[in-house]
Order: sequence, then C-alpha cells, then structure tokens
Amino acid sequence: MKAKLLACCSVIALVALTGCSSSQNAVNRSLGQAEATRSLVNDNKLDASMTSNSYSKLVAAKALKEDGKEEEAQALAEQSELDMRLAVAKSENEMAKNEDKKLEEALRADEERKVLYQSILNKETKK
Amino acid sequence: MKKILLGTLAIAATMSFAAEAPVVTPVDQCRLALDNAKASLPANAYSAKLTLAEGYGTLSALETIYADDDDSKLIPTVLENCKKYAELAKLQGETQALRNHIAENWDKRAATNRTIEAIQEQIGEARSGKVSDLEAEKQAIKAQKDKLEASKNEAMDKLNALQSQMIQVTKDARGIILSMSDILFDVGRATLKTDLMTSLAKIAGILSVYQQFDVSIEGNTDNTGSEEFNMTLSQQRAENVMNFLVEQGIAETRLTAKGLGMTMPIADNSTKEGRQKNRRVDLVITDRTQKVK
Repeated sequence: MKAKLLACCSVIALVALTGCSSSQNAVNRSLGQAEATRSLVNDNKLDASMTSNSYSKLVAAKALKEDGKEEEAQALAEQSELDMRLAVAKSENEMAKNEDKKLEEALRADEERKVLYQSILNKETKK
Repeated sequence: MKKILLGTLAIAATMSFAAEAPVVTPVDQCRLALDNAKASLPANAYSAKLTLAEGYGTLSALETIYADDDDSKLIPTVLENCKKYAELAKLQGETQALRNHIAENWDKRAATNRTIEAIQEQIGEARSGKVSDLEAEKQAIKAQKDKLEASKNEAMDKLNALQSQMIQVTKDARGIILSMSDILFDVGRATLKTDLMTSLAKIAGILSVYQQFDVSIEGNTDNTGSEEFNMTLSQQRAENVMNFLVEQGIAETRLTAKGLGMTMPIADNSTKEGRQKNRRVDLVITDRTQKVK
C-alpha cells in the first residue's frame, strides 16, 4: 500500500514539476521575445509613448515572473511585444501615407503635363 | 390610481428586460474585434492575416481561461492582447491597402509618361513637317527674288546699252537714272527731237518687257531765264516724254511727270559745262517689287 502511495505521489510530483517547467519555458520565451523585439526595432522614429509603455510592461512582466506569477508575466510580456509591434505598424503606416500622398501629387503633375503637351500638339496640327 | 399602477408595471417590465439583455463576455469582445479587423483586410494583406491568426490563437486561450474561471485575473490582460492583435492586423491591412494604391499609381504614372512621350513624338513630327514647308516656302521666295534680280540686271544691261553722249545711265538709291541732255530738245522748246524719240522708243521697248519698273520723268533747267519760265518748260518737256512713252504702249499708271525747273541742279550753274549738265530730263526707273518690300 505504501509502495502504491509512493508511486502515486511520485507521478503527481512529476506532473506538477513538468507543468511548472513548461509554464516557465513559455514565460521565458515570451519575455525573451518581447526583449528582443524591443532591442531590434528600437528607433527614434517610433511612437515614444508606445515604446515606453512597452518597456514598463516588460519590467512589470519580469517582476511578475519573479513573484512566480508565470501566466500573468507571460500575458504581459506578450502585450509588451504587441505594443512594440503596434508602434512599428503605425510608423510603417505613416510612411506609406506619405509616399502615397507624394505619388498622388506626382501623378497629378504628370496629368497636367500631358494636358499641356496635348494642347501644344493640337496647336501644331491645327494649321 | 390606475395610471400609477400601470406606470409602475411598465418600469418593472423595462428593468426586467434590461436585466435579461445578453451579456457580452470577454471572449465575445475578443472575437468581435478580430472579426471586424478581418472584414476590412485586402486580399494580399499577408502580414495582417498572420497577425490575425495569432489573435485567434489568443482567442482560444481566452476561451479556455474563461471556461476554467470566468473571474481569472488573467482575463483583462489576455483580452487586451486580443484587441491589440485586432488593432495591429487592421493597421497592417490599411498599410497594405496604401501600398496597393501606391503600386496602382506607379502604373498610372508609367502609362501617363508613355502617353506624354508619344505626344512629344507627334509634336516633333508636326514641327519637322512645318520646318520642311517653311524651307520650301523660303526656297520659293529666294527663287522669285533671284528671278527678279536677274531680270533687273538684264534690264540694267539693256539700259546701259543706251549710254551715249546724249544719255547718261547712272544708278543711285532711287533706282536707275537716265539723264537726257537738252540737246535732244529744241532750244527753249519742249518738242522732242527725232534722236530723243528713237532713244525713248528703245526705253519703251525695255519697259514693256520688264513690267516691274515704274518711271518718274523729271524735267530740269539751268538758272538762266525766269524761274517761272524754267518751271513751265521743264514741266512741258517731262509731260511730252511721258506722252511719248504712253504712245509707245507703256501704261500711264507706271509713269509720272513733273517739272523741277532750276531747283535740282547737278552741276555748277556758273560754268557753261555745268549749265549744260543741268539742262536735262531725268528718267528715274524704280523697281516696284522692291518698293513694296
């Protein structure tokens, strides 16, 4: 009976340990990813409020991990990374908007040039 | 009293409906945000679609958490993450839509520039055609000018051939001048002598061939005698020359006659030779084509 109980306890402990280890891996992965995203895409052109928010969340996530709150730490680390990605996406969106605007102006200028040349041609062929 | 009772019942009924309104769970909120983002994505917004896939993964996690414990502390953070995935996907979709528009505009620009180049070529062709027309016109004008010049030179040669003791042929800014000595007239009279008529007949022959020439006939005298007499005599001599030319078939419209008396001496009236030179009739032959220009 003792042996059965021991075996049972051992299985429970193993499952608990495995679960704990898997949860730790996940939070480490999220924290690492958030940290890497921050350092890789850190740029002055990005929205400062969003990047600083992201950093605060990363710090908070690390603190949660230290407190043993892995799931919360993981969710917050993910949010920290999402903030960085949003900052990048906003910046790219702005750049695309600017390029689109410039191109619209260039296209309008081309159209005006076309009309001008067409009027010259009409004059030249009128005689 | 009845009214108050009915009102109370109505309020109670409303409150009961409000209490029964469907609860929007965090899971519903997450799904709604993701579905909304999904609806607005352009077909080629691949990054946005990957982001959305991550969002739907978060939705699954949220469903599990909510099913386990609908009061879990994790729910607000995971729900916020879900909404951020939706926001991110939407933003990436918008950016892709802008990029699609940019690509369309580049195509439009290329097409417009091709059209401009084609128009420029057409302008070039039209202009080069005009240049050849212009060149041909110039050549024709030059040919006409050369022809007139040759004709003038020919006439000049023929008029030069009239040069004799009695007729001096010169050229100045006005044209060709034939100065006929007064010995061709009877003294103090305006009647033409035979020699003069012969010379004038030759001149008429030349003028009938070279129609571009007009003739101004100017009678001149020396300073002997009265001014009035000289003026009348010079006028009559000039008119007689003109009438003779008209008789020879030269149109009157090409001729003018005027007496200048002693007003236009060409030599010194104090000497015999000078006075001899001043007594004359000048035929000033001008080229009408050059006058027009």
